[in-house]
Amino acid sequence: MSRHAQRGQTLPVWAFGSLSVLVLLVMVLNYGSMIRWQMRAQNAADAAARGMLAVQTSQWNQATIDLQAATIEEYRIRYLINDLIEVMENDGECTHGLLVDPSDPQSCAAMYGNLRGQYLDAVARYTNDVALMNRIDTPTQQDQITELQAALTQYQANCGHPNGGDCAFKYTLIAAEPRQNSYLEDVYADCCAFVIGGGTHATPNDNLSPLQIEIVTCATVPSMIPSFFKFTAVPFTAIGRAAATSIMATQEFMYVGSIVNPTTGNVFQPSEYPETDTGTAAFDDSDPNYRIDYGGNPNDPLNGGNPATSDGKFGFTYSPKDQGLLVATGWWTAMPIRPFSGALSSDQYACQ
Amino acid sequence: MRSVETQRGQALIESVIFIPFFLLVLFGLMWIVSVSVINERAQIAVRYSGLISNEASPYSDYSLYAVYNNVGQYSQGVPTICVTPGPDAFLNDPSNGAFPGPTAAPFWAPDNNQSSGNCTPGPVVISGGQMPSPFLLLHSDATAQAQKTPPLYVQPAAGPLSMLSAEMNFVNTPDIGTLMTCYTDLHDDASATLVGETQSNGQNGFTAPLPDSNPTNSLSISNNCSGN
Repeated sequence: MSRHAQRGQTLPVWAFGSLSVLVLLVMVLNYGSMIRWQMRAQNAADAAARGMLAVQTSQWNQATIDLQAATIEEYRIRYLINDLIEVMENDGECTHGLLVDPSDPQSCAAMYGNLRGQYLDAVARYTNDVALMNRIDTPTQQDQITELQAALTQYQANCGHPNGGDCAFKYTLIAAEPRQNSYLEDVYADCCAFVIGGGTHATPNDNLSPLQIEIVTCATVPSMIPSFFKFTAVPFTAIGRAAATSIMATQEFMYVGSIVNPTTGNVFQPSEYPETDTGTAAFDDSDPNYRIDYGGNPNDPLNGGNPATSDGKFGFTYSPKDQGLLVATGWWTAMPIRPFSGALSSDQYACQ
Repeated sequence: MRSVETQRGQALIESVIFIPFFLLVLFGLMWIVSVSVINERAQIAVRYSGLISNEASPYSDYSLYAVYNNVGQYSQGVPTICVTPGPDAFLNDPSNGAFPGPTAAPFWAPDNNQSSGNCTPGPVVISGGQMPSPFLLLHSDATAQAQKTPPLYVQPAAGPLSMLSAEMNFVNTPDIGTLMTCYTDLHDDASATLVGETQSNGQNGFTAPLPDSNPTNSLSISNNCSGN
């Protein structure tokens, strides 16, 4: 090429180079925006999926709390009945006879009066436990799903508030079904073919089976690429997709009468002395005949007894006599899982 | 046609004209990349906060421990633990935080000490619509923001200051302490039994047997827990 022909070539080079970097700048801007919106969509979906399962987990946890109360009360009532029989038969340590002052706290008559009052109170509380159980929702699985859909609708409607989602997105429940796997944990137990609520571990009742749900959040977002001449940049779609399932977060086998609660410094369910009106032992030996002791005997390998009261003498009436009370509970929450609905098609969800 | 002599230096003039524009766009591009990274970090920060807030100690939050510590004289209340997105979400200085993100070189970091976060937790209630009864949730509203001052050459287009922020309201299933605090019927019932409250020593007399039609009204939620 001649030297003459090379004159002025830098102009198109600079123009093309600058335009290219300018286009790159806009594309980077748009890409950054897409990334941010995509993360926001995923955050919105994750939050909704975990939260909505409270329809199921809260109901089960409420029932477990109430059952724990009923369990303690039943254990108490059994001991109260046993104590009443003892004092009526002038058994145990209580003093009896015509010359005994009936107001003497160690007399069988005084103990009977106190035990009778405690028994009436305990039955009243147990009745409340049963009535409360009836008030805790026990929806069918279909009702749970319907309620879950209704909750998501309200969550969308409340957007922008603490009890609502992200207003930028449309929330869609695309799947809700009982969790299927080879090891189906359910509300019956983790073993043992218990028959509760019409199902067993091997043949679970769907109404008491953990749900898995999948939620899609979607928004149509304008592109950061400016329009010019007849060119209009296509908006992009930010989609979040999240699944969650109800899961037993904690399964406890708790000896409430021997394990010390670090908050109180005492065992979770301390011993009780219903035979006196002061709630303290009538005799110096911690009243092993009348005491309601939730711990076990000190020589029991599993439940070593209430360190303050258990003495291994007579405090444990019901079989297995040395173990005291063992409470088995399961507590439910929601945890994220991998989306399970397979390929997602655009007719399954709507966009904001 | 111009002479060869008059065309000498033309390339230099063209370059002088285009170099500032080219560099402006090039450095603008680099600045946008750094801002995008900070924006992404803000989103990650609120996500990290939302996923672990109210789940700090599930082994005690989902336990009989939580039941017993919300009856009688004990009332630990709603264990709302909010993890505030801190400056380490943007800087990840290993000596100043525990945010599990990649370390940020100064170019990708906000202006010095110009980042902040906030987290508001609490119970909330969803009700109305087709819902048969109010629905209790725990929420944590996390925000993260950072300041990045644009270079002088970008300020005519981007303004003198760029505030980059992210916010997301996360909700979660309520734990046992929250249920005990917010459902007063449940709390009162468990307190009565576990602690032996409401003792009348029989003065209340015999309890009526359960009626044929038990009450079925849903459990009520304390006004303190509406939080909306």
